[in-house]
Amino acid sequence: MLQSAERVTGLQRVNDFVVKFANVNGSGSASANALFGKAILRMGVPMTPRNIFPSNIQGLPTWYEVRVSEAGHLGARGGGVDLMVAMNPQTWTQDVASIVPGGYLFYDSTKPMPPSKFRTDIVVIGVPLTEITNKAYTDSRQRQLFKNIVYLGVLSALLQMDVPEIEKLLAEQFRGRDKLIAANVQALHMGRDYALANLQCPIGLTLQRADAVGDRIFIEGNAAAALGAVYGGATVCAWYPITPSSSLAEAFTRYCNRYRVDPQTKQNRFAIVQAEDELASIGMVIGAAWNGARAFTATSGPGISLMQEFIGLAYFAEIPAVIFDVQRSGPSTGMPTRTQQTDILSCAYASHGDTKHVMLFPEDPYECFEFGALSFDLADRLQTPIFVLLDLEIGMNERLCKPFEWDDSRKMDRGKVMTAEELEAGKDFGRYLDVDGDGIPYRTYPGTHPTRGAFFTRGTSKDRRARYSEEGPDYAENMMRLLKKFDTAKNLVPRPVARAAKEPTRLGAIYFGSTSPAMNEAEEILAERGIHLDLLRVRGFPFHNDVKAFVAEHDQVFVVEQNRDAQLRTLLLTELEIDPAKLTRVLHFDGTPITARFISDAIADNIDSLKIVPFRKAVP
Amino acid sequence: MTFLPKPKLHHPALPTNSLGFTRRDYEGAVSTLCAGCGHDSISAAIVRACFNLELPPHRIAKLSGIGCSSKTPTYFLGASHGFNSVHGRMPSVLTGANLANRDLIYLGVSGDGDSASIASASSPTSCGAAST
Repeated sequence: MLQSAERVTGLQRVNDFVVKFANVNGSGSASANALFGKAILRMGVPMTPRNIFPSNIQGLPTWYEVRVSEAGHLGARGGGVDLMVAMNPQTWTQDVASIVPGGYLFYDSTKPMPPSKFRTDIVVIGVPLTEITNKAYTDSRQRQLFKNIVYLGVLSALLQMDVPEIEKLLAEQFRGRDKLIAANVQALHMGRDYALANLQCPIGLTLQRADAVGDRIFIEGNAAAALGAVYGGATVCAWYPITPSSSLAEAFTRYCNRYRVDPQTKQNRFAIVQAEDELASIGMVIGAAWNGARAFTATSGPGISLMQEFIGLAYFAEIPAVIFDVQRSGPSTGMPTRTQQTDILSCAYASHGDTKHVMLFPEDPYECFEFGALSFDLADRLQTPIFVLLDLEIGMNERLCKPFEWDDSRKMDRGKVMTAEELEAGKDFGRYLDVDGDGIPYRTYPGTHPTRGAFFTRGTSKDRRARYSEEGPDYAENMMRLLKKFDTAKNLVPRPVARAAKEPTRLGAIYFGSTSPAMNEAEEILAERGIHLDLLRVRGFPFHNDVKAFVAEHDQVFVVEQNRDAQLRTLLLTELEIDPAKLTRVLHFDGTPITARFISDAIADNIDSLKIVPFRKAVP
Repeated sequence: MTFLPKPKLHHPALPTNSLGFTRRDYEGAVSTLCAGCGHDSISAAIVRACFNLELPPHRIAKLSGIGCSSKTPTYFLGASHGFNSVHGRMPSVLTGANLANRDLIYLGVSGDGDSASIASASSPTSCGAAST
């Protein structure tokens, strides 16, 4: 049933292509699609899945895109789809249009469709999925659910997948429910057998067993950050649900229920509150941290907007707090299920008055875990809010990454806390005294000592001993000490990571967070075109001195980010006092993840436009 | 001067409770509220109650929002940690503090604007969470 196979030569690729599933939300396709991706990983071939889900619920369109790349490129590829599994009539036209010339369209051919609905430059593969499942099952829900497994069976034949790996995954997924395992395996073979009997298998896109996955793990960034919070010693979590951050708090709840229940007393050694709103969430975090707990909230841009007043209080009163901001497209409700790096400035300078905040930018689940744990040490050490900025792209998608590492001898850094013994021994305590010259004062936990070390925490101006004061010099001294403390933070946040070009170059690129895999791939594409770039991945704010040095060492630096207003560039210009002409914007902000093609084209176009072509001399 | 400490002197015959504290040990700084303000009566009642209940002052944490009522924690329990937070949000901060340490006694102070207006939504939820 290859309707146009005679006319079109399909793409020929091994372990390097993009498959996209177009489904109807709520049709049970997600687990079949996830199985497809995991089976590829089990074949030793790296793949990166992306859920593309508009902000609606059952019955509306949803997509699952899988990029297969033996070379290990984990960023979105962009530039169309090689194989479209079109299971949603609502989005048929746009789905068919998104296939690259020579690509493949796989659809349910139960109902005949007019030729005008197809393209002549693609290979069309029709399988009567509804007919097959209607014959095999009587229950309508079963017909729907098994249809997904039937198309997985067809794909296994078309792409030459390792069937035992899929069967093993089915057995793992339905462990203990043998009937379901057998039924799913049967449906899988129903599709596979149909394809082998009626279609030309395999097509030009094939999978071959490889050894390119190694010991990497496969996890979503939100779960990784939640596990980081567990390892970082967080005991209080107050949150309010918001896409794309909810799964972080939910994962923390799961991990706590598993690892933080006292085996003897069965008592929870954690407290998780789904508060009435974001204001209460951050209020609870601040109250808990003031009282000595390690506390965090997880939210997204709109939550950051709502938390502004409290964030300013925590900054000025110097209370630790960890805020995971899983960014989505703004402003306002924006595109709530689309990715962006768009809260950089609203976090950096959150709240009214003069404020500056520490931010961490993880690139993948590995760093979500690492920075998730580190953020609690930093919050205690610096006594200030710490923002961990993920985004939907890394937060809500599973991603291959290095296995997490943890040194069991690692001790928490609780920062400068004066103990009852020190107070008893007569050590001088002034809550806002800069004793060590690093801008960080000592604090005491409530209830420490019967007569010494108590102080009043307030958002109003105060003197070094926490006494209310509106004296100008007291206020100014305090504000300058906060600035000194921020400078101390520069060397505590993760250092930027540099990657030198293969050839000496005067061009550089600065990027951060989820842009990482696309940037690395773009660097390779550009190098092939003869454009060499030194890379610097910023991992924290305030900026380390390396960042300023990197800009100084290059004539032109591209700042690659996923927002409209070049927010990181603005921060670099403001904080490092760089000549704006040196920093060129490369901006991607349509809500889809940035791609290597986009970055390499934007940089190449910019460089081409700068080349001055001399006028041809007039021939006499 | 924006801060008025109270002199530590007291009459030698002032009675003490079983912990050895006099009523004066439960006081805070001098009130800066208007003369005759009802809040000062409430502060005085808190001082007397804590003395009579024989509570160790440092085992009490006092939390408030913003406004005249919320200033009062400065004027009682000077040996306790206090937290003057943001307008209408005392309940959430107190809930968080309570989640962190269940062994202290928490005293929330709030006024009509602070609680009855701004925090009318947040108080029931937070108090519910705090009491569970």
